[in-house]
Amino acid sequence: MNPAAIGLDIYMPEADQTSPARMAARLPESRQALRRALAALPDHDRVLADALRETPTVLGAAGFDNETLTTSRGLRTTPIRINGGSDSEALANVRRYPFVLASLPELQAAARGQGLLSVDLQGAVVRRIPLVMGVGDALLPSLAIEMLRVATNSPAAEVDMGPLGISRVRVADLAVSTQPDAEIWLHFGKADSARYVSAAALLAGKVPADAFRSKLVLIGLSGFGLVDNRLTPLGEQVPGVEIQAQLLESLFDGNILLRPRWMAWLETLLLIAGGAFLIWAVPPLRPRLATFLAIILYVALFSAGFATFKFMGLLLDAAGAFASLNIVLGSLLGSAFIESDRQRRVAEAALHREREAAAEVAGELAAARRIQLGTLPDPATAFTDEKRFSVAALLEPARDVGGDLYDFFMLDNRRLFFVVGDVSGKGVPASLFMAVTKALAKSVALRGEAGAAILTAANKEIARENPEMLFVTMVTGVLDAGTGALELAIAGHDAPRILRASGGLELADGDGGPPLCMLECFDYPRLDVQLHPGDTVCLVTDGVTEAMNRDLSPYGAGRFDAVVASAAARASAGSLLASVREDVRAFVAGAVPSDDLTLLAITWHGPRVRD
Amino acid sequence: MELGSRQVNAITVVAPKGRIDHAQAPLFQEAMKPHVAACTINGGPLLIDFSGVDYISSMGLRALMLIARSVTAQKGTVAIAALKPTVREVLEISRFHLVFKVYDTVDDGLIALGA
Repeated sequence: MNPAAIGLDIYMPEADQTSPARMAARLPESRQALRRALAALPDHDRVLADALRETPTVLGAAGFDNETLTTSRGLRTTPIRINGGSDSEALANVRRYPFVLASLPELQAAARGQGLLSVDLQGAVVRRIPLVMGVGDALLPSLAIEMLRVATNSPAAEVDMGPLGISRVRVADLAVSTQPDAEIWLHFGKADSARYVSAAALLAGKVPADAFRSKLVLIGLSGFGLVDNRLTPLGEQVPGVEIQAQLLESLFDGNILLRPRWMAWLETLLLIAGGAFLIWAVPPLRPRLATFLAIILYVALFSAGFATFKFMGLLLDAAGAFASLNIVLGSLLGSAFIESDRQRRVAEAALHREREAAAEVAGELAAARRIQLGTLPDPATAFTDEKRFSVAALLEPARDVGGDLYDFFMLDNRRLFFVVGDVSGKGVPASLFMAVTKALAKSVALRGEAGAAILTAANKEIARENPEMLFVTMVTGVLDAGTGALELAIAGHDAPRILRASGGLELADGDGGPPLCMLECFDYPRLDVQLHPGDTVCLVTDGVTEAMNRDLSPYGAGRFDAVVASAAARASAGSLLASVREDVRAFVAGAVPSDDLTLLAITWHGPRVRD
Repeated sequence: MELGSRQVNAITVVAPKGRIDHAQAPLFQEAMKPHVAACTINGGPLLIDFSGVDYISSMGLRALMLIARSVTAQKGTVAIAALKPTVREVLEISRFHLVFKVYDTVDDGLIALGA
């Protein structure tokens, strides 16, 4: 048969219990003849030892971390030569076992060599296989290396030491680069049943005589129920001997995966580059797009890992980089979420503050409006017992507060003073000046000035305290309730309308002066009008005549006069005011009010004596 | 607000356009500032051409009043001319003719101011 070498993936630490002498010892004393006959037969272990001596055989052994009944502390081996380092340096790098499970000393002595079969599992999977290991203080070859040594008839296997540990394992002219711990990554293939020869077929003589010539032969066990079943990275359950076969094959083909030291640096570099890319690219992107980008990156990463494995025989750990990059991506997306959540909260808080501020301003304006409107006399309650005249008034600010004003009060038993004014502008500034104007006009009127002189005096007072250069148009009137004599004074204001009980409408547009504050020392002329019983005097601000609709066209004095004239028949201050108000409202039709609007109407009923 | 301005001999003629309402009045006032500043006892008279003004509110009148005050304080001369009927009505009601010289046309104004 002449094989190159035979490796036994079988441990034989105990004597064969079926050897004839042992069988004989178990027979009863009465079977002396049989016992003698059996004892004469050769011992099975010796037969095996003789057979081993005839062939280039390598026995398998296994490293043990714990002592058992059948383990020992050493075994016979051929020493390994170490280049570029000492035994202890080499031992410091390799997998070491304190104990070893080896075959019977008789068999060890007969065999040509011995090698270790031990393989540490990564998870449940065989990935890396050591070529050299340590038992006690001895450096031992693996079964495959020892088989190659025996087959090549070399004196010793060799180990080259490098800067990081073991760099190469050599047998004859074969040199295998290894990891620093003398392990190699096996490039696993599919198990090929054609390479198996069944022991039954061999013993039956069905195998050609030269089937094993110059071959490396492994003897091992296979089949269901085998304890020594291993899982390869390809997911295949194979007998342990298959792994030894693939290892031998790989050693010959040089088909060994390498994971050089710099691969770890390359992976770190890839991780840093990928991480930096994610940190640069992800924050401005929407999460969906960022995830898509990361997936592209991952696909590229795994493609690179596969390509280096397939075409260069290098192991690039793409999964490790993937896991780390995922953490980077996750934290980026997480912080993006936290940031957007924070911004949303800030925006909400700002909106809330704005609303609060707006509500506060609105509240203050509403209070100001109540106060302003509260300073105006209420015609419904002012003269409840008055039979000589009646008063109706209306003031609607364009905004919360306004610059229009009206007022009326009795100067004495006979004389009714009334005023309508319009401060230039609107809103808060106008409303403040309105309050000042109204108070000053009242104090001047109550001082005892008469008629138009009130306006002249008020002008001086108001102009004196006017830093914003606002001005006020105003009409004042004093009605003698006993005679119907009306003394008007006009300061840049729209002319009062006199609605005669007889049906005529007159404009009291005689002499007047400029608005208050325009010319400080202006003597406002008086304008006398004689009222007859039933006559009504109507004062408005330009909020009526210049009320705008949506097309920005003004209500106009003409339409105002027409409404006043048509209301003549009713001849009451209240109804006149109501019809003007309705007509203006209909004209404006919901447009935003452009100016404050004020109406004051006074009807003189005649010189009746007060009750 | 844009003001077309031109010089006729010593007289500066400015022509505001559109509506001088609550919102536009401050802009009108601002645009008038350099012309008002130049209208002193030594500078030429200022004539405001109102032919392009469609509407003037009380705030517009206030702006005119302030112009009149400034110019009067500087002993300069300011006048307005060519009022549209609606604007003329507002100015008449407000008795602005007591504050400003008002001319029917720009030419009338130029002649009166001695162009």
